[in-house]
Amino acid sequence: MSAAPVQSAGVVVGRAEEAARMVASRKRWDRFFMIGGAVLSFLCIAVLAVLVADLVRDAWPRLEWGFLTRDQSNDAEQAGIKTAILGTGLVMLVTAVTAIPLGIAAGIYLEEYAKKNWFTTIIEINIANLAGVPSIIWGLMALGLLVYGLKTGQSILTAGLTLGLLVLPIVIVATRESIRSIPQGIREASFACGASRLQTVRYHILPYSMSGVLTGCIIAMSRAIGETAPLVTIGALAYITSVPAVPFSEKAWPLEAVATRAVQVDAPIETGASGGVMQFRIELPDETPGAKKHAVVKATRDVTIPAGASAAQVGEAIEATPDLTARLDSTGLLRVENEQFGGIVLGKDTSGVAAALAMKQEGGRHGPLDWLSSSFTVLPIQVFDWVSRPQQNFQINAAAAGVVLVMVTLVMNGVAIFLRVRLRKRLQW
Amino acid sequence: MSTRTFVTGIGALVAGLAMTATAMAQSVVKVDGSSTVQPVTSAIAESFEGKVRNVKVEVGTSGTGGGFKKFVRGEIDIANASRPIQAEEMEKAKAAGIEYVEVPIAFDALTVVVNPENKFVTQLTVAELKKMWEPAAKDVVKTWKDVNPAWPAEPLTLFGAGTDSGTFDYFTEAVMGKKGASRSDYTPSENDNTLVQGISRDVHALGYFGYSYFIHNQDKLRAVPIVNDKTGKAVAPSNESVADGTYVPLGRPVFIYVNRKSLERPEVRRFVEYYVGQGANQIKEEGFVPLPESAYAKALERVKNLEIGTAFGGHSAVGLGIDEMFSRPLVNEPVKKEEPKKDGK
Amino acid sequence: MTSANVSNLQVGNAGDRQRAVEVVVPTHGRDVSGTIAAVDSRAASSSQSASLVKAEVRGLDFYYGKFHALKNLNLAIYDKKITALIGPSGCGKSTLLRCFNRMHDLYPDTKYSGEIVLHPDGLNLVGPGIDPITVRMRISMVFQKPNPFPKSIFENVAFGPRLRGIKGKDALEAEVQRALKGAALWEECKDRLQDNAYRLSGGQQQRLCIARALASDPEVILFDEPTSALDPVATLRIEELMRELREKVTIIVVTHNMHQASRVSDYTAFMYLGELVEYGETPQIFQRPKKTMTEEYISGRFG
Repeated sequence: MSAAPVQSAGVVVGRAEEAARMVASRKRWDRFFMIGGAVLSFLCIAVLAVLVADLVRDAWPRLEWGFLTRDQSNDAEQAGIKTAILGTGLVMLVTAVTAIPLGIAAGIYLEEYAKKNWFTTIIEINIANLAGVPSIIWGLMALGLLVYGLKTGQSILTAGLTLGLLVLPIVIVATRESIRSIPQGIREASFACGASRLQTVRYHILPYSMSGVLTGCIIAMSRAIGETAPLVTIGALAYITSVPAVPFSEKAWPLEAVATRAVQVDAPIETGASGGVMQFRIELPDETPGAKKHAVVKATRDVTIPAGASAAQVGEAIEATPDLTARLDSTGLLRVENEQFGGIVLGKDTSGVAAALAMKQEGGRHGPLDWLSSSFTVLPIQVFDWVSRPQQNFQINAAAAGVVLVMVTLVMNGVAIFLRVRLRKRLQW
Repeated sequence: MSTRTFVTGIGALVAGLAMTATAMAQSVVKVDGSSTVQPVTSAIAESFEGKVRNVKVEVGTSGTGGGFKKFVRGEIDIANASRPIQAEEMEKAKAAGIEYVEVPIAFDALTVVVNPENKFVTQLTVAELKKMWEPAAKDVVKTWKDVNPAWPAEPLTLFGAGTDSGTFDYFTEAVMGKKGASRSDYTPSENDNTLVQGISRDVHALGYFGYSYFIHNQDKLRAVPIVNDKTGKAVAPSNESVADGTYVPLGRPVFIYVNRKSLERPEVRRFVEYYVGQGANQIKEEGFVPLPESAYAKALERVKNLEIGTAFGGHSAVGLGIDEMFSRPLVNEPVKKEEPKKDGK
Repeated sequence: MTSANVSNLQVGNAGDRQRAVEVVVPTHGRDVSGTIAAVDSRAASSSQSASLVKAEVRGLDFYYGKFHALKNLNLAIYDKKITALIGPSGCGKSTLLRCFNRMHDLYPDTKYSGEIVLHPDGLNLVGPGIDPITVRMRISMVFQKPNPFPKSIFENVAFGPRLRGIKGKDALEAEVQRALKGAALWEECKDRLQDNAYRLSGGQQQRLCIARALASDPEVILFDEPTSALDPVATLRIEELMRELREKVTIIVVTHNMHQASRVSDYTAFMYLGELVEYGETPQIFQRPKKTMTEEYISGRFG
């Protein structure tokens, strides 16, 4: 500065210049940061767009309704993702039903109820650690604890619980963060009105933190929906065409289960004593071209059981009927078979005994929650399986299933954003 | 009284069976195991389900080892396996009272491939493969010239199976003579398509994987014939060379193991019989080498007669011919390694 | 040591104490024993007639962990009067206020000893085994910063009545209207009851908080520096409102603003370092403080 410091006017001018320079410099940084941020944001979106576009381009030949509704197949063009979509949907349902209420409850407990002591500190540290545990470890845990320990089997329930535990920390952490952002004044105001802790949580903490909690839940579900490793470990299938048990639908009993149940019936039914006629139906595959998956009834056989017949006599009577064989298997169950290929024999009892027995059994319909124990596959497993197939055609399927997965995730996110906006509208600070 | 209870049981059983007429009987055949074999089993399951109503087949893909783990717990009816059952698994099965029928269903040929632009490699001996892949080759064998002085001093880029796969186990045992012995400075992947991509883009690359990945990518890859040590002739992998046992030592059998008890269920028996009897087409389509007709007949025999045990005594199947698989005695206890397959013939 | 001195300071002479007690006794039929800091009789008889005691603080000590925040406090809160608590930052005035509705219970490591007796039934507000919720059902609070719930105006006011089991639209509407009228907010927002409370101005928000406190039909309302976040106009309105409310309810107000204390309150307690230095009728405290410390504080020489 050339002006002598004693000249007050000069000092002022000097200061003003310096200030102007500083402001200009700050503004420069401001602009730099703004432009940099804009470029980076654009890059992120561009990368995502390119990825999705590429995926859609690869998947294009398969992107039609039938792909969603067809069974799995080894013919890539005939293959669909019906069971995978059902599996993913139901597993996610179980995951949501376990992780969300549990996670929110735990978050609320830790934020609003728990006293700060070494025990809660340990819990907090562990939750943070759990969030970082590789998913395959959860799979191993679930195999030991759920599949073998609690005997939940390789089922939708197991898968849902596993993923639920996997994402639980995410929900907990999101809930806590969201709760922490509520000003303490709100809590004090509620308590000052005479509310109990539960009432404060119910009427204030929970509603006000909902939008953050919701975001956490969606992040959690988005993570869960893409998981493969733990599900492979607990036994998700690569090939399955049967759909999970539809509530209240007629039960399709495995033959063995039928036998086991039947033998366990304790009230004596006087089949042998009263005698009767049993009708067996022999079904054979329909070999007509194009008649896939349909069998035709080739013949019916009536077996007359004399009154007071013994087990052996019942067996003999069946054996004496053409095309039917009866044998006791190693578990002591009588099996009625037909020697020709595909001849799985269905019996029909015309004596009314079956009806009586049916009353005693569970009605022959699925319970509302039977689907929980169904076997399953999920979209990522399907993608994984197809990606590793040598046939190039399956790469298209993999991309198409990928597109579906992305769409599902986007829809989930969309719902979350919609709910959040609605919540925000009602709730403003 | 006890007779009457039994009669009641029978009556109830029959009535129960009758119920299925109204309630649509459905039985499930549970399969799990090798991801290599899974596409074959799935394909056969699909066509079987098309033929037989009321039976559903479920196929998992938790790996040969994972499949056997479930198998010896009695959780599944059939285990897909890309190698024979091992001693440890045999012992576990025995302890759990699980008996099994070993059914070879096809051959897979581990195929050594190079880029089609590579013209100088016309054949490879096992010794050359070993030179390339043995652990000692790390940082030493860097160019093709290092393997064979006749070849150019171009960099040798290697692609191979990830260490968790059955393919890795088999290749290392067949080539190096010791399971798991491999150099580590190569590009590994569990997804064979990645290897296909890598080799097709690098002129001087070499890699190995299952035959099916070669079959479906013949425009991008070239399979290198392997010199049969006994005859001295180079043999390219093909249905014929694998089936007649001249493509050694890289041809390997794949199996299904069926729980003997499950075979008492008509749906399981039907499925296995269908697999062995009518699966050849699907097996071929999936890029595996079907067994000869006679071998399938013998396999069917095994299933029908419930012949339990393994022909491998708990060891791997390197260099074992089809005939041997059926002529060797079936055992239920691991056999000591002193009786190896090499001097069997 | 200290607490003994303070007691002496507060009590003044025996005669004063006797008279103050005489005022109390007939009302509730009980003797006010101990060292209740009653107001100078001359002041009481000159400006106020027959003040009844609503609450008595007796030998109250309060601790945050090891920190002794309130030391052996004794004072009487008069019914339907405004009592102001003044003193420099950290003197414990807010701490004392928050003892009345057990706000400290929300935080760990706090401890009360002594009593705050609420008349007419003699409930010890800080007694062990007394549920803070029962206390807060009778004593409500208005905070320093307006803290309405991020809900509608209606829901804000209806919260207290709902907690008290009032159901039904009509009943709730009546309560809300009564409270909003009481807080002089009804005219301004009767047409926008469903609007979010945060759409109101700061002063309106604070009056809404007062309405919320009123809706619980409290016996005492605690004001914790209620105007410190407001502009002068809004402050005046709140002060006006407090004077109106005095007709119906007992008020204790903590304030930093000496003018506010002198404008609105009937009684003023000056606290310093957790001790009650002087307590008396507001004109007396501001015009003829007995303690030099009080005088110095009021005249702005410290604090």
